[in-house]
Amino acid sequence: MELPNQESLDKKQSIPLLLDSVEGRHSLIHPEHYQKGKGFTQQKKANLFYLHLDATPPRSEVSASKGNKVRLKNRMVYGNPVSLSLMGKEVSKVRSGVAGVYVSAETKRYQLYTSPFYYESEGDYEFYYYGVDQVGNVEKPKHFRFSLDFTPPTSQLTVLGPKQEDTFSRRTKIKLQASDAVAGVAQIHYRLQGPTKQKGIYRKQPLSFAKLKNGPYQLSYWALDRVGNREPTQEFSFYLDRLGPQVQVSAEGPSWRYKNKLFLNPQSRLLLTGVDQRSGVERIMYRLGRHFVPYQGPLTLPQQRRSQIAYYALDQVGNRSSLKKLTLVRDDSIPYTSHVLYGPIHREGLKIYGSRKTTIKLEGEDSGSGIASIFYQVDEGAEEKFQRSFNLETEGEHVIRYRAVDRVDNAEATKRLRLTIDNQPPEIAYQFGSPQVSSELDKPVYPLNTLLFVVAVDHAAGLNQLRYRINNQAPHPFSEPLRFRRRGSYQVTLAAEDRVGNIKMVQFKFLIR
Amino acid sequence: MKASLFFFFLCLFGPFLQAQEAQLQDCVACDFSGRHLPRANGAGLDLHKSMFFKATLVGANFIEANLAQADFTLASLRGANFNQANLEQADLTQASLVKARLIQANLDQAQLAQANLDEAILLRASLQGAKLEGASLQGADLRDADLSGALLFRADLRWADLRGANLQGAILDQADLTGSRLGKAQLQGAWLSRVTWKDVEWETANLSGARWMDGRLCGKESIGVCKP
Repeated sequence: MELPNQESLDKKQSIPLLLDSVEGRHSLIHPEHYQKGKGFTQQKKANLFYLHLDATPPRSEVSASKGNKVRLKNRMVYGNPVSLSLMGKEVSKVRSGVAGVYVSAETKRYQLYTSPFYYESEGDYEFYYYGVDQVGNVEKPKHFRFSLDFTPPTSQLTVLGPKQEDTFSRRTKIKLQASDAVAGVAQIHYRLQGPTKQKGIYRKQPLSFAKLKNGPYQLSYWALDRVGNREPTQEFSFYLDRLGPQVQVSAEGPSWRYKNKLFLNPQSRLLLTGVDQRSGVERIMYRLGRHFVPYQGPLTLPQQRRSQIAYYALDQVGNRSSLKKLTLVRDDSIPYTSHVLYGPIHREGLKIYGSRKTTIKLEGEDSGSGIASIFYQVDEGAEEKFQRSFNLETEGEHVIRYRAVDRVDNAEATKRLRLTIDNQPPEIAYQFGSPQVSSELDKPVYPLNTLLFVVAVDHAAGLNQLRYRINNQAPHPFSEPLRFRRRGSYQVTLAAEDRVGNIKMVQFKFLIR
Repeated sequence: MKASLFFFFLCLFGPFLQAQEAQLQDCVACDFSGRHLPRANGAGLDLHKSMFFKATLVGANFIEANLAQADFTLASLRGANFNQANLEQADLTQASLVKARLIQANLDQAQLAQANLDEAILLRASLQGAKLEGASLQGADLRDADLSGALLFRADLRWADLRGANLQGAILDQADLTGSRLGKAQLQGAWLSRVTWKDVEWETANLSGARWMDGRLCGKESIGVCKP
């Protein structure tokens, strides 16, 4: 478009009138109505002309349809399809009116703007435009750049600090970063699901897990650009391992633990085993002397009877187990077992007699880890573990072999108990010193002064006592043959008891004449 | 004075003078109690049931005499000869029969309680059921004697010779058998409880069924030793 030429304007006017004064309204009056020194004396509308001097070009503007947008330094960015309208506007006091807005888009020539432009494809755009008012003031062309940005931002997750695959420690942090090529990133949102729940907008500081509970987590996050494009939610799973490994003390060889003491056979070696549920054990440290050293294999026991080991472990993500201490007891003491016999027993030299009522109890002592088991074997029978006192039923001599083993396999040499079981009562025999002379009422008759010889014998434990009772008299120990000096009817009761309580009784009746 | 001395000696030696080698006659149930009859001769006589209570019959001769049920209680019969005499059921309680000869004498059921038979010769004598309770038989010769069923309770049989004797069923309770000889003796069923038996020779004694010293019953074939 070309501006009107001043010369062409001048030619059309018969009386050139140059209006180069201040923009605004000017009055044009005939000179008759002008008196020198008095000014205008009379004014009549017919002779009064107003001239409006408009030297200011209009101002054109671009307006866009509603939607997400952001103004960047050199352009506008719209987050959705946009309809752009151009509108001219007079900005001076004298408004001759906008004649039109001319626009040149996509390097084409200026054209009079007539209708809004509609953009729906993502991309970068620009156009030039200017306005012209009714008196030919032409606005200086302006440049409008804008972009349509429908692409969401992309975010990235970075793990900072210790980690083992998907296992993090409390010192691990997550950094989220997002980028958007056009409009720029507005926010990054995140949501944490797991034993502890959290959600929010990611700030500059990386996410810290220092206060989260131990367990599996799922982190959801997405970024939003400044024109409302939302990144699809991304998921990231991890396990927060706040727990240090567990260290177990065991032994290669016999051992027994009681409270905070570990009894070990001198031949045993000490094992430290670390277990970590997630990341695995990185190393185990122990101290048997002054300093902590890394554990590298089974440990030989110190020579002293008591020592102390301190130990801890670290997992792959830096969690440390608590420091633990354990007293080590080198147990080389041999257990000692003894037998206790309850009930009837009789010792004769080295021989011991008992009956089926004799209870055999085995008792063990150990000054170290304590008795684990006592084993015993009766004669040639199978070796059994002693659990409760027992009795032997079978008559005769038995050999009971027994031994104890302590909790760290220190074994006692086998001991023997010879026990003769005597369940048989003594045998009672009696003999009259005189032959029977007759019989009355089925009772034998012996002469006056007849002696009664009585003997009792026990074939095993031996006789303890032999007692007799004549008729209903009190019983007496038998020591000498009984002489019957009076005639009459007699009932003699003989009772023999052996040394292990077996009793035999014999009763018989006879007459003395 | 002389008269009184004479009377004293008469009283002291009178009985000896009176019974010098007295010849006894057959006399059933006669009473010789307290009589001083040393070396009296009663051989072959029938004197059964006679009383010799406290009689002195030292060296008397009763060979083949019948003295059944005679009473010799407390009689002094030292060195008397009763060979083949019949003393069945005779009462010889506390009688002194030291060195008496009783070869093949019949003493069945005789009462010999506390009798002294030291060094007496009872070879093949029969003492079945005899009561020898507390009798002393030290060094007595009882070879082949029959003592079956005899009561030898507390009898002193030290150094007695019992070889071949029949002691079946005899009661030897508390008897002292020290040094005695029991070779081939028959002790089946004998009662040997509490006997003293040091240096006893009984290697060939038959102890089957005997009631042994400790009261146990010896088993069959217990020869020389008490087998269970």
